[in-house]
Amino acid sequence: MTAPADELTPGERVRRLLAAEPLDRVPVNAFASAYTAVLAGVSFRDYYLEPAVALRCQQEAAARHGWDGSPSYAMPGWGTWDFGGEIAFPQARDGGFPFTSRPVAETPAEVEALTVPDPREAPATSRTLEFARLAWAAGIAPCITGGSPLFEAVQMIGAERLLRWTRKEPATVARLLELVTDYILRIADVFIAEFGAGNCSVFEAFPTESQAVVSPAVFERFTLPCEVRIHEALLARGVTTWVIHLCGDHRRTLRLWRDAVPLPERPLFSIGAEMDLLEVGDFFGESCIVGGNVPTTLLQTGSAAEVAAVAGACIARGRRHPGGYVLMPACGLPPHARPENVDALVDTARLHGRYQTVAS
Amino acid sequence: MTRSHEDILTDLAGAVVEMDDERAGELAHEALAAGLDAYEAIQQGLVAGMERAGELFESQEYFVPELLLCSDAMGVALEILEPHLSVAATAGERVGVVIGVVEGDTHDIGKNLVAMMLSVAGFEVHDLGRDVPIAAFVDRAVETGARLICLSTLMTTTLDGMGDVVRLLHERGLRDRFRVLVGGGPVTRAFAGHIGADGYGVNASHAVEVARELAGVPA
Repeated sequence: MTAPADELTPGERVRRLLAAEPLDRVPVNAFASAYTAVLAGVSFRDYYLEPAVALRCQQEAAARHGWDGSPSYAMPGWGTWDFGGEIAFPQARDGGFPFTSRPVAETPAEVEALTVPDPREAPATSRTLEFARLAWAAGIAPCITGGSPLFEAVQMIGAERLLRWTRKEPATVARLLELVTDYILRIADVFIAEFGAGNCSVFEAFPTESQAVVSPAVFERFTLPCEVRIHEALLARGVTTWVIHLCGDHRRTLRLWRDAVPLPERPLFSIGAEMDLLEVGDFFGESCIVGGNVPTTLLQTGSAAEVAAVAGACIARGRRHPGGYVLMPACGLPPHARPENVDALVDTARLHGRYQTVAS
Repeated sequence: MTRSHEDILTDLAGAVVEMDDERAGELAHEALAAGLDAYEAIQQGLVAGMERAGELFESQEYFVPELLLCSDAMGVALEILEPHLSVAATAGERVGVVIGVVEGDTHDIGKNLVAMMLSVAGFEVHDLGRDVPIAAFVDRAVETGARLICLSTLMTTTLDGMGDVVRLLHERGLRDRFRVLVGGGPVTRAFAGHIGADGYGVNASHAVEVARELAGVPA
């Protein structure tokens, strides 16, 4: 079956979604980063080290697939690199995401000695800024990272050390997260000064806070104070567009998100396959948008027909949420996802995600 | 006054569950001083404690940090007790397992937990570490006479490496000799079936259950 043509452009669709206005169909955000590099035949190294290359890859992939998300860029392990650690790219096979090759700190004393970098000079964030400038010149809104500080701290000092320290050295973990939060806000100030708060969006992801990894108590003790601070500060500065990716299972901390974290009027909660689109939507209420949650492994290893079936089920469930729904993968699009499966996401939204009320 | 063996074993298990490495070390010394057999102290004290920690993890009362610290406490006591194991206690046949994170991925926390819990469950664990070349899994399994190959990854970029291990076993005519168990963030039961693996572990303690089933080792 041929998918009907769209009535709105991606930009119009996203603007209407955020304004809670009628749409032609369910929007699709492919949550893509290095996938666009693989699609263009570019190495992970060139993609992440050359913002102009990353922007070109993102634009080409968006044009190829017709998805609705804007190009965005963030270096995995940015905290490590910017705070003085080292990152490296895997040598094996066809490369992969950069990883921490030398941690920022290995002792509490080394954490105490850390200072917040200057985002304009720091190796990772200066690239994020360069990407934002290039994108802005092409009419694309910049995106500020909101963390999570805990996830960034995992990259900076190593997962096992950080997780042990949540119990053995809690004051050090709190201090490290405070430093990362200071840095996030400093980065945000640079973005806001250059592009204006109203033009910036925030993206934040919480993989470490999943209840497959840490307890709700760790979220409450360490992440929550940082998120309250980040959200209060950015909302006060006038940033209103927010994507919050709850990666994995967060069911036991949703209450804290709703009741303790200051949220913008129309937050988009992108959720993993471990949670239910409608339940999360109901929980946060009609003002929130929900996104998700097509399993990422399916996008890499499944057939287009399988992806279409699962995406159709997601649309059927997600669109029942009155606040709005975005068809998305359950997490970042796998770099080696099959392009025909990404096409299947967009085609399924066009075929089965149409709304009764046609936009005018 | 010397305490009963039963009390010492109970406290050893408790020290592991309570993540108290200092206390676990003291109790290991006390066990030896009280004439407890080192093997019994390990099995009925430390292993019992770690199994309880695994149950708490399953029921989401414990999480990864707690499991790591339980494992640390067990490690402290194990270091004290192991030199006192009798030859007879260590002579029994243990099922060999080769485990590692597939090439291209350096995330090893899940693999480390599974390796530790397999060891506690009585397997002979050959931990190849992280970013392990595909052929190394097969070579080491052949070399050690292992019966299981356990593969872990957190990244979708390295998922294909798991299928490559299974393919290599076929190519070398070794597929029937080894059981392959896979796990990690992006791995699903369907993916395990897709690449022809024999088992899939949802999390660390489940991986041990599946390993036992695959190797025919009773719990």
